Amino acid sequence: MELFRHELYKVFCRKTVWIGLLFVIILVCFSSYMQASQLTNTYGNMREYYNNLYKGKEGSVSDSLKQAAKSWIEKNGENYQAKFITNQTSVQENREYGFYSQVLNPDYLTKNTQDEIAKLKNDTKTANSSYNVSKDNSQIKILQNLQAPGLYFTLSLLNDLDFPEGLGFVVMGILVLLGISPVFSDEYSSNADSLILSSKKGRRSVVTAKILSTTVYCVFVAAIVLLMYSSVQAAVLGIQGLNAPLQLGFINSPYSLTFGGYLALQGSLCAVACVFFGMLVLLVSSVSSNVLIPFFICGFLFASTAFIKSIGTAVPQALITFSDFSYTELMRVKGLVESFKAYDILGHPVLYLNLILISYFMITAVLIFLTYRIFHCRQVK
Amino acid sequence: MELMIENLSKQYKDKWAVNHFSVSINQGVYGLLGPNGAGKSTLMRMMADILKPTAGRILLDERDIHLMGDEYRDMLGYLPQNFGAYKNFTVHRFLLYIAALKGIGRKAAEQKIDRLLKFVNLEDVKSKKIRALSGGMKQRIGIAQALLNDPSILILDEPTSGLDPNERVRFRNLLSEISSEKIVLLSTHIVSDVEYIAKDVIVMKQGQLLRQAPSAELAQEIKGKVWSVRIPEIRLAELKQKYVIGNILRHQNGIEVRVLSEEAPLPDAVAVDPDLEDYYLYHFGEEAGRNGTFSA
Repeated sequence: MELFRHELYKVFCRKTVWIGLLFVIILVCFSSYMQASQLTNTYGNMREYYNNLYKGKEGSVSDSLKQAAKSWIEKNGENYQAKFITNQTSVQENREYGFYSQVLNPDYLTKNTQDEIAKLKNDTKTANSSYNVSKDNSQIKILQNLQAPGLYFTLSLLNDLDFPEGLGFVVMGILVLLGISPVFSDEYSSNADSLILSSKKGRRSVVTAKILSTTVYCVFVAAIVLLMYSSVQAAVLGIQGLNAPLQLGFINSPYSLTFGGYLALQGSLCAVACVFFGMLVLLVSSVSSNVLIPFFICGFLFASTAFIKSIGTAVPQALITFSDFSYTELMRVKGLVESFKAYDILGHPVLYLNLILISYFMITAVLIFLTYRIFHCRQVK
Repeated sequence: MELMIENLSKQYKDKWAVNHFSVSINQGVYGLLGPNGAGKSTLMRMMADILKPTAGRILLDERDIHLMGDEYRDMLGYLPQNFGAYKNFTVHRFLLYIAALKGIGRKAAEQKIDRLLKFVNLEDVKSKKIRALSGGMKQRIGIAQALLNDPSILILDEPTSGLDPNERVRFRNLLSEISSEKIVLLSTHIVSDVEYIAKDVIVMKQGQLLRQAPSAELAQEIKGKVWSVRIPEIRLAELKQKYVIGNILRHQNGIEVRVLSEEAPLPDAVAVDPDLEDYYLYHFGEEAGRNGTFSA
């Protein structure tokens, strides 16, 4: 426990970490505020919007409300679209159009799900392999268990869903690199490794302490980044819609989650991804006395997979699959849950999210083992 | 307790830093003398179990220290040359960290740290950051951390570098006090560090054992080869070119020079009793003079 506290102190006492944190917090808060302001510029005060139009009407939509929405869209829809293109819509018009579109959305989502189930059932009859049959049946089962869509006010949470996909994973990756790259490298460059390796607990226990401190630091990074962003969003936009089904944000998502459940999942996955990435950085740090080496090697790996994703289908399939199972994809979260995706593992369909987590648990176990081994065999020449 | 080094060797590419080195030591202080590049630090690293030998082994009471692992390191106190301390840590925090590394509980560590800081005269800077301390102060912290776990085996690589004469004397006295129950091995270029307290001096040259014996015995080996002569200062350069020169004492009417030579360097040279410093110069004089490693 003592060693762990000292190792944690070593991570947090570095000026680079605090400078990095400061810049990230400023950047994240500014970005969050600007994105929230875009919505308030369009829809005005969110609490007012919610109170005036949504309050008391959440959940399943009544027929009279659907009728009112259809009438409004028929009467004002075209005019609104024309004004929208030229940026001449008023806040009230934006609110009403948004509201009435949302009223009609659940029917569209229900139809979408039913069509998908029908298509899958048809596919199972014509499937050419047992794996495809199994996969389709799994998807049908998942779709049949989805929460019924309804009317919910989700505007105040949409930015939170997208944050890790964009700026979020970048700043988390940078902070992990800044904090973890020097963990071993600094010991080597400062000759402290002589003292550590010649002491009773200097081969195993100190590595355990470093792994634990890396874990705490990485979870802290994910928590602080997400909390900072969400806090600004909540302050400007409020937090209505936590109980809305996830399909209102990700139409094709097969997961029966609410927005609140997804945000909790997102936070957990970001933290876990940061920890996994942190272990990779720790391993590379354990073989290098120059702090820049783990920073740039792991940074390159991190950035390259994001770059591959951004290119789209113009890269070979192998690279796409490689980037699908990258640290960046795990940290971005959205790609893991926004649609049904399964992989054939020994004839069984395994959901993308489950597979990537299992893979990284195994990979990280190997990385941790290697880190122990490397430091145990370390010699001071 | 006996520490036996059996045919120890360490090779780096095509150079043998330590070459078939065998020696046996038990409780007491042992000095390890040799110029830069003799292999002292490499030998000490192998004894501290932080460097694996190419060949040979080190046995503690007939048990291989490498196989003993944590058990051996629990008995060890090691001060490396140019040891690294965390500049952002305070003295207190650094010693607490080392205590944690040595498996000492917090409460016991606090008491030991207070005692050791008093001993090395650093109680006043307990809360200061290490980066604010002088070189000598940092070295004293290094000595304190080596003693934290009350080690049975103390390996000190140039422990007195950066210490002023007063601190060196205190350090020598401490070693004398604690060495009866411990094996203490210290490497140094400062002959006076070991001359009076070392049980044996182990002399190392180019990775090999040159000699192991008490300092008086080593000095006696070059009896009749150490001379004292008085000359005018202008003749010093001429003498330096021909002979290895030791101490130079300035007098009002010239300088008194200690010269190492098989025969009298000048007609009026007087043979004097050699000391360990002379022995060092006799074997390493030109080398030490070239790379500036010798100092008294």
